[in-house]
Amino acid sequence: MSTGHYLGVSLLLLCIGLGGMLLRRNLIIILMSLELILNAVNLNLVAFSQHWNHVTGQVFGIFVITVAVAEAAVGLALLIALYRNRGALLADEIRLLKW
Amino acid sequence: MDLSTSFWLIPFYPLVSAALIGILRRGAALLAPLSVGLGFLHALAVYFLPRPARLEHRLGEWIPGASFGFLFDDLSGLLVLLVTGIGLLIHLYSLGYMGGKETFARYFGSLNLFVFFMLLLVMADNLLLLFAGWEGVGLASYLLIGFDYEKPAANQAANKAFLYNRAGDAGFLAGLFLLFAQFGTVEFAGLSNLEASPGLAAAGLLLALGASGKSAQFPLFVWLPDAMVGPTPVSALIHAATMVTAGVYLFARLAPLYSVIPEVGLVVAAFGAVTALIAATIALVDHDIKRILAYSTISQLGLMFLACGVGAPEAAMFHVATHAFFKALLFLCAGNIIHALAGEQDIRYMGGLRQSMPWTYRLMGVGALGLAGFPGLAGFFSKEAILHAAEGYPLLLALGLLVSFLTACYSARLIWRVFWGEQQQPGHDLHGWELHTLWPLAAGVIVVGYFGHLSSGPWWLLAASVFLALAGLYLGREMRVFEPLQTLFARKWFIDEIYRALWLRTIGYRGSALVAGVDEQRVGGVAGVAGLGTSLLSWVSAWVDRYLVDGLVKAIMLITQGLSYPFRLAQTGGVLQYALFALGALAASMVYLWAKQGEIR
Repeated sequence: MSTGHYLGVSLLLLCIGLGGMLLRRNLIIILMSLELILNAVNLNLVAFSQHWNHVTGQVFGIFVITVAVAEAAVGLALLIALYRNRGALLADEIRLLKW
Repeated sequence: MDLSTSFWLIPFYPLVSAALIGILRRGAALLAPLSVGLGFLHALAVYFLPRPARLEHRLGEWIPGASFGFLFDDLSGLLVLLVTGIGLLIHLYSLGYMGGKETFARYFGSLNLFVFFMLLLVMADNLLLLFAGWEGVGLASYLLIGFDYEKPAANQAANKAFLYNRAGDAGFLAGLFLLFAQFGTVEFAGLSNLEASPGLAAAGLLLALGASGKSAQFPLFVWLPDAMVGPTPVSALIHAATMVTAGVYLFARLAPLYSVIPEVGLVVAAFGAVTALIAATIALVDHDIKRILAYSTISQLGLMFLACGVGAPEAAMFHVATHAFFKALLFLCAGNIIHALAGEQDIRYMGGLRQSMPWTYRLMGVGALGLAGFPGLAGFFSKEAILHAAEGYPLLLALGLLVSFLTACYSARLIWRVFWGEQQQPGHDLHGWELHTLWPLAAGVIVVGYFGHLSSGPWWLLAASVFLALAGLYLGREMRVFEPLQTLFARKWFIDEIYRALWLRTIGYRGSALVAGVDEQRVGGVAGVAGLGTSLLSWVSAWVDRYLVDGLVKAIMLITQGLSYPFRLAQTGGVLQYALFALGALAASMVYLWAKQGEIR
């Protein structure tokens, strides 16, 4: 399997993630889609690390995983707080980021 | 430093206590009686231990001819004992009377200040320091008469007392200056061997004016009855121990000075006798229990002035001492009655309290008998001494006898109206401090008379005063005053009205009209121009502010708002839309980079 195959899978993951993020209304699904995008990036990094025989990409991947965990924790906490306040988690109904 | 040489510390106990109470705002109930009690014990020791006839101590020089000097001889010793002793009883009484009020600290602080200034007054060894105490007493009385400062009547009474006192004090001060100008000293020692001169007589008259202001004598006595709006223990303190006895003390202290100008003394005696008569007649018809006692005080002070005027200050001081006991007793009993009847002061709504307040009845009866001059009680001896002193002046003697008769009348009327007859309101005896502080006073009323030098007047004078006292007590119970006289007495001889007409109409209003005229015609022009200029300038300033400064700010605001309008449209608040924008921007930048890369290649 060449590096190109890996990149293909990565691209597929990215597209699925972006699609989920833009098309779904549920904020939890959007958060999961974000994780998929991050995984696509990770796969990319690891694939290029293998391709160039260079370890930096793998180290970077581990960093991304760590940050993603933290991001998921904070994101879920925010969502719980939001749900308790509003009783719903629909992205198009929450319009607070406004001038 | 033993007890006698440290006698000058006596006034400073209450001063330190007043300062501490003022700063700490707590502990008043302990500190205030304790300080006065310490002063009393100290004074007792100094008075009764062997001592020279004149104890003196100088704390420092003030101005040449007057120093911060203290003096303790038999005269000031007697008054120091009275002030601290009666003051101590009144402090203890106040513990009960003022108990549970939030204003405790302010009350006791002012009370202690009062005692301090009075002690300063009686222990000063020169007129200037005496004047300092004199003014301080006026200040403290102002604070205490106006103690309930939420009540307009209290403020008015306090102002009235203060202003009438000021009128007298102006005379005092002028007399003081006159004495200093003539003799270069205001120390009592230097004022004892003087020769009669018109200047001395003028100074004596002016000082007598000051004394009549402080001691509530005609023509300046109208403030004292109004001062009754203060708390009752304060009235007792003013009447019995501090303040009003100051005028009598002044005469007694300056007796050597007045002995060389007997004409001035006669004027003082005449004013005293007239005051005694006027006040006694008003006391005969008044209805407020405290005002009756106040007029009685004025009347008794008139008798004291009479004695001072005819050259018998020792008789006057004797009466001061006995009067302190029975008047403090009467006032504190009146306080108990007012407390028991929930603030009722009108004797027409009292009556029949004999059964429900038996102890107050007995104590107040003793006080009233003492005041009336019942044979064997304190008031009898001192009044006898005064009448004896006035023997050489038939008119004054007749007035004095008349006043003693009236005194017995209104004392009997007071007791009769309050304690006998039909019961109108239920009362109850008070206990604790408010009852038990009265026993020493009652004992004093009974025994103090025997400590003075007993009068050696002729038998007919003795018989007359016994007869008048008994007749007055008998007749006074249900006495009805002849109708026109009743009106005259009840309206206080129209003295307040006369003063209003005299001072306000003729001098006050016209004076203020004159000042107002000057203000409008002379000063008013300048003020008008200045006012016009100011309003013009402010109009210009307002125009600049409204149109130039505000306009600039508003223009900047409008421009910013207009320019930002299209960008605001994009901000809908939808998260997904923002994500789409982000993706679009990413895609656009990637296409741009791709195209550019192609270019470079």
